[in-house]
Amino acid sequence: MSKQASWRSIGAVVLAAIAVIVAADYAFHYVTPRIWLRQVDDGVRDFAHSNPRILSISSSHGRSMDVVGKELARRTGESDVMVSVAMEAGKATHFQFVLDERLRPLIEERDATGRRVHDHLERALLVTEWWDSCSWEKGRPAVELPSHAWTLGHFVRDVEQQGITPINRNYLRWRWKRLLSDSVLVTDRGRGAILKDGMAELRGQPTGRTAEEEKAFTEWWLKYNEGGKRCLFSDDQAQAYAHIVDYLKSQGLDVTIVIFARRPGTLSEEAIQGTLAEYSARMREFADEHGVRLIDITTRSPLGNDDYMADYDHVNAQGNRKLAGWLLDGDLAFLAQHTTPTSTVGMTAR
Amino acid sequence: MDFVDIEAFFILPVALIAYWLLPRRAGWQNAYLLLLSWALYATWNWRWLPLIWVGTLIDYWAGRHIEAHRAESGAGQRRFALAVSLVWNLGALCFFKYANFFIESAAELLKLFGVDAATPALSIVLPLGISFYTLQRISYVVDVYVGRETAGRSLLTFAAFSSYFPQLTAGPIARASELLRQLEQPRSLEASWIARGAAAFLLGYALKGWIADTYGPTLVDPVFAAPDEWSVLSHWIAIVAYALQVFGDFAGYSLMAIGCSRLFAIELPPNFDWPFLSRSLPEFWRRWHITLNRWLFDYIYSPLTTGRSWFRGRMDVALMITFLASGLWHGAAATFILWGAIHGVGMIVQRQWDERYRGWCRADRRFVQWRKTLGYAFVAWVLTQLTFVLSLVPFRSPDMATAGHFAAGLFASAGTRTFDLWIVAVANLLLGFGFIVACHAIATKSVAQLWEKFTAMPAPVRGAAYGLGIVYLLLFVPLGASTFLYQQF
Repeated sequence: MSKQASWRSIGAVVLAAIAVIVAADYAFHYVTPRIWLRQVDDGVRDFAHSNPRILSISSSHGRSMDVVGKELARRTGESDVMVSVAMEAGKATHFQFVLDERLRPLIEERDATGRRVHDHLERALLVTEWWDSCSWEKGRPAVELPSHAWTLGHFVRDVEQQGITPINRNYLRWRWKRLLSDSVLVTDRGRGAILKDGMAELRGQPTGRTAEEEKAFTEWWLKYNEGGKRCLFSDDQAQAYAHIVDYLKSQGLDVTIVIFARRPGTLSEEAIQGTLAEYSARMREFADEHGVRLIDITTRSPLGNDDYMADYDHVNAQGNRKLAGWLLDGDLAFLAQHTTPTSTVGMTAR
Repeated sequence: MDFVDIEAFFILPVALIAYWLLPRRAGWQNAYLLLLSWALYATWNWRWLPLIWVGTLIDYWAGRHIEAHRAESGAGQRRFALAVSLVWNLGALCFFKYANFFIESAAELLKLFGVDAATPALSIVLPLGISFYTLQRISYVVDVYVGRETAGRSLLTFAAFSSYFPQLTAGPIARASELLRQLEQPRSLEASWIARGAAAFLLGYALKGWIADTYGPTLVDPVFAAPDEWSVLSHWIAIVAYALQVFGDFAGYSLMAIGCSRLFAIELPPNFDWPFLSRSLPEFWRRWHITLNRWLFDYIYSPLTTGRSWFRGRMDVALMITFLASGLWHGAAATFILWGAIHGVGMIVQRQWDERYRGWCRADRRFVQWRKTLGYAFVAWVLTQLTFVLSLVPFRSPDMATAGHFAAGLFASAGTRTFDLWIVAVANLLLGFGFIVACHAIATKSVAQLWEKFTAMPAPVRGAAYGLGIVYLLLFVPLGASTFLYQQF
C-alpha cells in the first residue's frame, strides 16, 4: 500500500481486490461446480417444518435416502413423506448425538393441546455400514460432529468448559462456510477440489487421477474394506446402536436398519467374506435381538462402479435415481404403506 | 485467538468497529482493549487469567513503589520492590515451565550415583504466553528501577500494557517506552494505520498460512518422524524447509500481531528483519526474534559484562550464558539447551574472529579490502546460514536421540526415501521459496525500488494484485494447520 494512504485509495484497493476475488470465484465455478451437500442442519430443519411419516438417520451415505424420499413422495402423492438426516462421517455415537440433541426434542414436541406436533411419524430408517460401528482411532478427534451437528448452544457450552480448541473451532469454520456457501473458494477450503478438478481438466480425466494414482486409490479402498473386520462393533458404537433403536421403538416407531451398498470395485473377496459378512451377521443378530427389520444391500444393489462419485464412497446422482427405484420396487416397497401393529421380529432381508 | 484461524475473521472486524466507535479517550480505549484481551485469553483457558491479574498488580505496585522511593534514602525500598517483582515473575515462569524438567534432571543425576528416586510427575499446563508477558513485565520493572523509564500512573493503562491481546501470547515483547507510552495517549483513526496494518497482516498471513503450514507438514514432519528411512538429500531438504517453516511461522505471526495492532492505531516493535540476509551471527540475532534477543542482551548480557561481578569484561562467558538462557527460554529440554550452546559457541567464535581480523587489518590494509569483496561476503553468508540451519536439528528434534539420528542422516543415511509430491504441490513449494527470496530481496536497497514502483501504482492495480494474492492463499493455505510454534515456548 502507498505510504500516503487516504481513505479513498484504501477504498479503491479494497474494491479492486474484492472484484478480483469475486471474478476468480465465478471463474472457478466452471472448474468445480458448487455441490450442495445435505447436512444434519438441513435434515433437522426439514423435520422441524414438516410432518413426515418416515425419518431416516444415517451417515453421509444416507443422503441417497433423500432421493428415495422424493421418489416415494412422487409415487404416493404425499408431499413430505420422508426426511433424511445425514451426518457427515458419522459413527453410531454421532447418530446418537444427533438423535438425542437435535431430533428428540422435535420428535417429542407437543402443541398446546398436548398432541404430538409430528404425529404422522411412524417409521424410522437407520442407514448404516460397517465403518459406522468402528470407533475413531485413539486420539483422533471427531471434527465432523461440531462441524455438522452442533448448534450455537453446544459450541458455547464447549467453549465454557474447554476454551477454544481445535475441535470446537470446527463449528465456527463450518458456520463460516455455510455463510458464504455460494463461494467456491470458501467451500473448497480444506477440500482442494478446485486444484484437483483443474488438474483433471488438464489431464482430461474425470477423477483427476493418473492411472498410477487410480491404481493406488483403488488398492487403498480394497485394503480399507478388508481391514474393517478388526474394529467392528466397538463397545461404544454397539451401545449407541442399541440406544438409538430402543429410543425409536419407545416412541412407537417401526424401525428398519439398512446396511448400505458399497462400490463393487472397492470390495475384494476377502472384504466380502470378512468385514462385510461379519458386520452383516452381527447386525442381523442385533436386529433380531431388538425386534427390528434388517435390509442388507451391501453387495446386491444394482449399483455399478460408475454409479459412485470420484471418492468411490458416495453414490452419484445417476446412481441415486437407480437405487431409489430399485429399493422402492423391492426391499423398501413397504414404505409406501402405513404401519400395522405387527411384530417385525425375524423380518430380515438378506 | 490465533490470527490465522477462523475466529479471527469473526471477532476482529467486530472488535475493531466497536473500538473505533468508542470516545477517543485513552481511558475508554484502554478499558476496552483490556476487557477484549482478557476475553480472548479466556477463550483459550480462563483459569489462567488470575495469573495475569496477580502479576499485573504486583508489577504495577513495584513500579509505583520504586518511583515513590527515588530519593537516595529509598534504595532499600527500591531493591525490595524489584526483588518482589522478580521473585514473582521468575518464580511463576520457572514453576510452570521448568519444574518438571528440573525434577526429571535431578532424578537422572541421582541415577548416576545409583540412587533411584521416584519423581512426582507434575501435570503442569504451560499458561499460554507466559514466556512473553513475563519478560515484558520484567523489562518494565527493571527499566523503572534503573531509571530508564518512569512508572505508569494508571493501573488501567498498565493492565492494558500487560495484557494487550495482539502480542500477549507470542510477542513481540515490547518495552514500556514502545507500548505503555502509546497507551497513555488517545488513539485516533487514520487511513495510514489501517493501510499499514492490513498490509502487514496480509504479509504475515502469507508467511504463516502459506509458507509455514505448507513446508512443515510436507517436507519437515515426515523426515523428523523417521529420519533413518530418508535419504541424505531428503535430510537436507527437510532441515532447510524447517528453517523456512520456523521463519514463516514466527515472522508471520509477528507481522500479523503488528498488523492487527496497527488497526487499533498502536505500533508494536518489529520482530524480524529478513534474517536470511545476515552475514554474521551477531547480525543474524539482530534480525531474528529481535525483541527477545535485545531483552536477553539488555537484561542478561549487558548487566553481566558491565556490572561489578566476576563476569565484568568476560564477554565470551556472558555470551554463552545469554544463549544458554535463550535455549532454556525456548523450552525445558536438553535439545533446546544444545541449540543455545551451539549459538553461544558460534557467537564466541565470531567475536574472536572479528577481534583477530581487526588486528590483521591494522597490520595489513589489504585485509580491509578483502572483507569488502563478494567472495568474503558469500563465504560469511554461507557459514552464518549453515550454522543457523544445522542448529535447528536439535531445536526441531523431540529428543537427543532423534537429533543424533537426524544429524547423522545429513551426511550418511541407509534410508532411500525421497519426497514423492504432486506436481501442483512442488510448484507451490517452489513458489513459496521464491516468495521468501523476493521478500528478502526487497529489503535490500537494489531491489527495494521495484517495491516502491509497485506502491506508486494506481490503487486499483494494487488492489487487483492483492486480490490475486488472496485468491492464491485461499487455494493453497492448508485448513486447520494453524499451530503457532512459538506459542509453545
